[in-house]
Amino acid sequence: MNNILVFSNWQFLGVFLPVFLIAFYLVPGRYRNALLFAGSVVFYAAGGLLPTVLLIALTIVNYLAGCALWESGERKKFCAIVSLDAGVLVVCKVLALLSQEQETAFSFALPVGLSFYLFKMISWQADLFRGEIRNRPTFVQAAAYFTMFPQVTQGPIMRYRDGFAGRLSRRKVTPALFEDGLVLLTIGFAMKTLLADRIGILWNEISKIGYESISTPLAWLGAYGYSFQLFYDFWGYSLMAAGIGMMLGFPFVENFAHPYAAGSIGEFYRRWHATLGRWFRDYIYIPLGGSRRGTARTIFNLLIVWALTGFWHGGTLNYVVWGIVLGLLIVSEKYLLSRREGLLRAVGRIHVLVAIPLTWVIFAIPKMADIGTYFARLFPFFGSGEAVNSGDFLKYLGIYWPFFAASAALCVPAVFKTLVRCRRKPWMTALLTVLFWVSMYYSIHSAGNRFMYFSY
Amino acid sequence: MPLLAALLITAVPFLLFLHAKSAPGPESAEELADQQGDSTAEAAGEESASSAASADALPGFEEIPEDAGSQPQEETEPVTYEIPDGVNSKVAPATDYGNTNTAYQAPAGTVFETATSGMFAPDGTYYYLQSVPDDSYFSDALFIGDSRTDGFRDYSSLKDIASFWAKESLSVYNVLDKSLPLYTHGVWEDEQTLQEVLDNHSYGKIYVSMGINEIGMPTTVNYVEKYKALLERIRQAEPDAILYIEGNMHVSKAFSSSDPVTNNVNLVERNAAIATLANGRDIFYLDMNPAVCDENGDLREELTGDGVHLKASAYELWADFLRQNAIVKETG
Repeated sequence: MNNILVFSNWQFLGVFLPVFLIAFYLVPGRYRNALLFAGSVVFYAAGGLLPTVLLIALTIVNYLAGCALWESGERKKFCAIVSLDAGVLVVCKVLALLSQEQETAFSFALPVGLSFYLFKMISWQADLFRGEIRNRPTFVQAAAYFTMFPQVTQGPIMRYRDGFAGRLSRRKVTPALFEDGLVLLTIGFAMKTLLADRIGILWNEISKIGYESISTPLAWLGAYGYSFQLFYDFWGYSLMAAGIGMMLGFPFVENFAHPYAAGSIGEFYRRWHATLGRWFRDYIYIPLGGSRRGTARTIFNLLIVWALTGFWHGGTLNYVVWGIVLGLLIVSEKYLLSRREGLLRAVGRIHVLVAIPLTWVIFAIPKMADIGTYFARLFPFFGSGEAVNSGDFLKYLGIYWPFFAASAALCVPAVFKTLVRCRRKPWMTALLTVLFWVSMYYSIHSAGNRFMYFSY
Repeated sequence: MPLLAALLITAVPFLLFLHAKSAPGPESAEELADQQGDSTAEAAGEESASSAASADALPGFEEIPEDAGSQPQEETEPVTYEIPDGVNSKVAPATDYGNTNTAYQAPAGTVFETATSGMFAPDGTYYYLQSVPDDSYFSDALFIGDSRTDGFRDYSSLKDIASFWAKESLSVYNVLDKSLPLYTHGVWEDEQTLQEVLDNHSYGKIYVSMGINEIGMPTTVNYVEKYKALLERIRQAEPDAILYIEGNMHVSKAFSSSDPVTNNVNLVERNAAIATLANGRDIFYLDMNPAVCDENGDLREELTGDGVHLKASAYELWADFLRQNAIVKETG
């Protein structure tokens, strides 16, 4: 999409955002939520009329349901609204899936951000039902929460009370907060445009060649390239979203906490897309009993959560397989590997650094048969592929090694933390300025590479 | 707020820089196509070339006068002759799915003269396309082309037999200026311009294949002009070589039925235009599409990953087509 919906487009960074910020700072504090709602609707409208109507309709319905819940916290009302929200999500996902599968005349595109904003709505209802929201939300507050443009397309799935409770609601922005937000925005922008988009071309090339025709080293390079692409695309977006939020007076929302430094897959998924993980934990896993109902039930709960996580990402079979594979790996870590001392520690790192990139291959390839082909190249015990160019690995390594090096370096927590710690230093300001304009240049010349989670 | 201040201050130089980069002149078109081809995958590059052009914002692109194509060429004497069937490939047709933006086609009513008549010396013989005796036919062949030729070099069985000078961003607009490494008989040589390649080596056959990168550049008339200029340059350096104009490979149905610019209607129009440059004597037109397309003229889905390029395992179909459709001159 070549418009304001994608944060890394010049239309957003150069037009929408500055205009909105100026209006936001001119307007007195008590009107800022209203302006946020209005501006977010304008922002979202770039994605089409029908999706916008749906968003506004769901906002109104959820607000009214929330009012009803506030009056009398009846379980029936709660179940009704959650079923409605979840039902809309499932129906839309299934429609989108069907329109892809068959060559039928009907085409249905999943409305942008549907999976994310519906999850926010469900969490709001649950928090209301559990009495975790102290002050009765006004329509403007609820609407601003559901639709706020820094989060509506791809999250982070912030909780209502983390942005709208107490004095946060006054949207006070200090210069320091603004500057920190701008720093994160710039870092995220560079991650997306200069790392993710560049290294992402490798996966395109591999798809072009055909999975049956890549050499084994190239297959591995591709798996890591895709992993890095996905990581920096989504971390980059999340930093931009968090940075913009800070420029609007919201606290920093952490979505990625150096996942590749984790010691196990279980820990990885507490650090990767953390707001989604926490959502599933608080609203599905714990209500199902979490780990408190014995081993068998815990395993069941984990697998349910992971199957749902897979389906949330996409209705095609590969996503559900991806989810279940991860569920099984996490169960094995929790119950098998943790038996022997030190085993989890040793195997856990291999899980994170080797198994996780392999699971991203399942995530990336929609057709199961193609996944099989790719894995046959990764582990070439059954054949040597068709028409493989033996020089392909060196060719692509020669082109992409700088991006791999930079990507690997940024996976180390100390590197990123140092950048953030030095953010006020003049050399860092100079570096960020350069990165910003170089990213802007590439963004303008690359015909709009959307963020990868845009279609979830 | 140091970063904010720094960004605001440097915004002006950046905007000036952008403006300078899109300075008026035809070089801008190749530059843009160049950068896009170099820094992104070819598919993305084509997309941005066509979307940049179609957004009407290709800055500084000169207005081509309407009648540029139909002005009479300098001809010593008008030589007209009917080339019989079997000398050149027929231009492979394709289904029109009704979504074509014809803005980049030649203006209606343009007639392409068989413009090479009178420019090259016909020697009075007609050759017909036939199978090569064996692969050694290609040992003195040079393949010039874009990313499709690039893939052909990497994945066909002719890889270590022929010579290849190709890159994904190659187009008729930059082919005479670019410096690329030559891959010849299994060995990489240093970067050199096409002129250097032709001056330092001798070839019996030269295959040219480009057009998909510039499909979104106006218009077909320009494309043919540039193509002709390329052929003339090659002919000057290699007076005795057989020149093969390879028609552009079609794209898949998914692409062709949805993209307004990169679709088979436009590709066929361009192929038909460059096919007129073949004189049946020493310049021939080849169209490999029947080997890889279905009955609608669309590239078969199972042969392509992205709809525009062949999968590695499919390049052999192209090689086999070339083995079966060649001009074999009797020597002696």
